[in-house]
Amino acid sequence: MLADERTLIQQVAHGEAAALQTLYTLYRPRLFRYFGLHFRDDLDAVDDLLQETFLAIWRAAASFRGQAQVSTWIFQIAHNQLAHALHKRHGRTTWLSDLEEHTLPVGATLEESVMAQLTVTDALERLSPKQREMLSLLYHHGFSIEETAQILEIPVGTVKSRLHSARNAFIRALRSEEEAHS
Amino acid sequence: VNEHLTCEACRALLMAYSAHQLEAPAVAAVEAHLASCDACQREVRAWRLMQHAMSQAEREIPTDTRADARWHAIATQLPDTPKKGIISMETVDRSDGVAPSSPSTPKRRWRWQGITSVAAVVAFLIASFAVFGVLHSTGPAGHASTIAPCTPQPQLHLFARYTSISKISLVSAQEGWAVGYQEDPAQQQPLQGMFWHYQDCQWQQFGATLPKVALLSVAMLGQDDGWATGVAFDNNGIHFDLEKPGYHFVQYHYTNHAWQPAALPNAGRYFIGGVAASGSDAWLVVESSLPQPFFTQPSQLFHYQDGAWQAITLPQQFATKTISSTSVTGPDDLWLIAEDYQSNVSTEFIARFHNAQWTYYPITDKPLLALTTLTMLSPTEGWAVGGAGNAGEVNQPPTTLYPYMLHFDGTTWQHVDIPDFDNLPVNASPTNPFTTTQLFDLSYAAPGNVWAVGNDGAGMKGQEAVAYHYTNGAWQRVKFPQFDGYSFQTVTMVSADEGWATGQQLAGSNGHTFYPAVIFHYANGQWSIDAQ
Repeated sequence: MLADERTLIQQVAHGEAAALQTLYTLYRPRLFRYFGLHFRDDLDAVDDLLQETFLAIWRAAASFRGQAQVSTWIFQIAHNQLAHALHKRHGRTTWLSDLEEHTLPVGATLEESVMAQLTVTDALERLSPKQREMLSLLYHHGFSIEETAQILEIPVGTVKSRLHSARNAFIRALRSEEEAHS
Repeated sequence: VNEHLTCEACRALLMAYSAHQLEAPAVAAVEAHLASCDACQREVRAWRLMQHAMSQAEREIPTDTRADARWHAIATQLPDTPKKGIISMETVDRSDGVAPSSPSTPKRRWRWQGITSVAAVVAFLIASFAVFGVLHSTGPAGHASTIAPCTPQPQLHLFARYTSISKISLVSAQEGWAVGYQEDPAQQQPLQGMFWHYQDCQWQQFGATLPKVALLSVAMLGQDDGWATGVAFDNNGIHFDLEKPGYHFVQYHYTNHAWQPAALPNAGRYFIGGVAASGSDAWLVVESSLPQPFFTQPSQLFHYQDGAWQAITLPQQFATKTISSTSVTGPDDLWLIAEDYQSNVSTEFIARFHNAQWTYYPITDKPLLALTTLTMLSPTEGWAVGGAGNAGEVNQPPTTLYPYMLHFDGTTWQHVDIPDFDNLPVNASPTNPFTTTQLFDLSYAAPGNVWAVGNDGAGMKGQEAVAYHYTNGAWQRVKFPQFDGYSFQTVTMVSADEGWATGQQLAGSNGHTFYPAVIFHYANGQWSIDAQ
């Protein structure tokens, strides 16, 4: 019979390295992508983040109370590591500030821009790391808005407003990229 | 959810809608609103555009090549003294000693004489979706390429214990998709449809789960183009039960690196039995229309070409037929098995649709109860497998059941003996069946190299994984002492040296049974568990 993830955390809390290794096998690919989104040109940084995250899981396992899903709890730890690393790298200002919140009507030309993939990724680059992290949790890692709020330790309403802000910033960045290309 | 959403209410749901995180009623309400609101349609496109951009960005992340070295670095930093900690009782495995009230698939319920139970047919249909056509552009042998099969690190906790994998479809030797669902009736949890993506030598869950959905099939046309089908339940969605009303059928299209709900002809009214794909086009088999019970209506067939689905008018020969398996050898070359649902005896044929012409191959072999799967290498070479034996009483399982293999040599389909089942008598005692071996799926690894997989219900632990391998002009049974208690359901070979199979493990204790999903990988001449 296979142990489930909660049992693995319990085993990690009792000092079983094999259980941590199993969690590493399970979560390494997702966490690699989660960190890699921010440090794709610096795999040493991703390495450090992964190591720190699993050592933190090892240290914190005994404090896991089971109210959250294991995946949410692990990403919460990963988020803290990422926030720390980004803060060190970019300084507080860049990491903490969202792009200017601005409501932008979406025009009919949007559809045409779908195919402009370079432009699209360029626009994404102009989102703040925090916005990209939130979108990554929602779109790539399958967390709900509620779980994302838990991981980021912010209210659900804040996730929603930041989401709309990110979307508007993205559309605005896309527009300006399009104008730059045209 | 109110079916008549205002724009404001709709927009509040659009992010979750674009991320497939809404439940079916909310999806229906959003889509009803979107159908008549251009402004909200633009909003959806904006969300999807951003999702697409995120996928693009993630794809640019380099491959992780340091996984093992990193683990060693972590392990060396762990304190020597085991750390002790007390976990709240809330964290104890809730499933210890708890099992679902009913097992997951396969559920063996016999509907009429023959081996065609509903679940078995679903399993067979799932098993029959040809992915070979996708690989055929380079030929199965050529597809081996120069890249050696990777040796993935087994993932022993990828699937929750009540997960079923319906089908794997490969894009290449390095990339593929699997679909399935998770159920947990004991905990009153709704079904969750799931996608898994294989890349970087590893299977991972992809995207959010789909509440109250069971995904049943997938066929990839290319790296960024594929189709998946399944069932969405309108009730609480706890039980996978297709015999009661209260569900509709759903389709998903993979494009722009995301699986999106997709509209097909008469979507929602039909069970999508299977997809066969070949490069740029695909074939869709549609089973009985609702609300009729399954397999009491003729099948329908759709062809996907140039980005649109078109209905194919089936000739009179299909009037009482259900299509149970499809295979393609290339564009405009479809092969299928048609089975009569009105007859107690097998009146089947294999048919080829090519150049707008049908060619029929009647199958009249006496001991044959039903054909389940066929796979074609080329228009002149193929295999089909089914079950033969003593059909037994109506609504009862056959008293004798053994695999029955047919080979197509370019002209006729002819029976080919396989070991253990040669010359078996067709009359057996109901209490002492000769065998309960079934083969569910077939796949070409290379010309002259075919795998067939299934299970034996007489295994020591209730079932045992069974495979037959055709090489050097003969079938040979491959024994799996390590897979006692397991079952193979589908097989998808990449080359002679590499392949994938899905299946389940019969597990549980104290009379409780459950079937965790398993993905098997064939490499270095042997099958092993890659994920479960």
